[in-house]
Amino acid sequence: VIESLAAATTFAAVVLAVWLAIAAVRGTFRSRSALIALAVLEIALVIDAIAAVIGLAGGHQPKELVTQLAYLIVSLLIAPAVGVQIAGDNSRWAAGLAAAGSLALAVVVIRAQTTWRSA
Amino acid sequence: MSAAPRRPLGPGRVLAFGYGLFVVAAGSRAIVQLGSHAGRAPLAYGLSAFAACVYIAGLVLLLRVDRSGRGIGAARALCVAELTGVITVGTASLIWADHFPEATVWSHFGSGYSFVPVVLPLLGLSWLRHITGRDEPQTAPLSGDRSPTATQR
Repeated sequence: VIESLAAATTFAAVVLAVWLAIAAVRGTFRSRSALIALAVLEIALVIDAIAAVIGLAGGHQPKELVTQLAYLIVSLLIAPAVGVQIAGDNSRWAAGLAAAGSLALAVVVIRAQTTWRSA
Repeated sequence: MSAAPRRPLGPGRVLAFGYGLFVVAAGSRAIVQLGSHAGRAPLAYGLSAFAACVYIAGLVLLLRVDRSGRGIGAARALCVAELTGVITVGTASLIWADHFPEATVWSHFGSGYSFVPVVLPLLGLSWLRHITGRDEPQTAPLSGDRSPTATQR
């Protein structure tokens, strides 16, 4: 876990969630832009997960290793899970689903970071 | 990924997604807790596993209602049971705190999850109520009718 990258990812996910919620309310959602944003987040999450694996291999020992791994795996799965559901769907509820997913992503990244620090 | 044209997502699907998130949250929590130190707080950990099962059932039932409109009664029963569970476990965790040395998903009414566990079944019930009204306008008049027929299914 790279602290600054994780913080930036959390911030971006929250901003994305707010943007998606506004798009849902105003009915201006375009799933293409959301998919691009989610893809960018996913890249950051993959880099962060690789850094975490390297850190673990290098001897970093979080207090709850299994929990840490669970958060890392879940953090990588949320964006794809949202992506396959909203692809090609510009409806308000697709925006709502993506907003919920982004918020969940932010929470998971924050928790992963907390677990990581508790060495 | 399917290329077939789909109808746009509705509120039921978003709700089911929420349940899916909690299947993962409660399920992995229960597996980690029971797998690594089951003896530390058996009641709380068992309740985490129970919550995970409730969310799996909720996910399946809500998806069925969303896809086919069938099984509304079962989904409603699940939401009521879930809400009862959250309130019961939430209250018990406050009154008998010594039986809950470690948190479970529904401890303190799901405060560890921003109280989403309380909100989820309420949203479920209101959605089910909404689609029941839409499917059977004759049994759910617009104003003031509290006759039992409005809730029968």
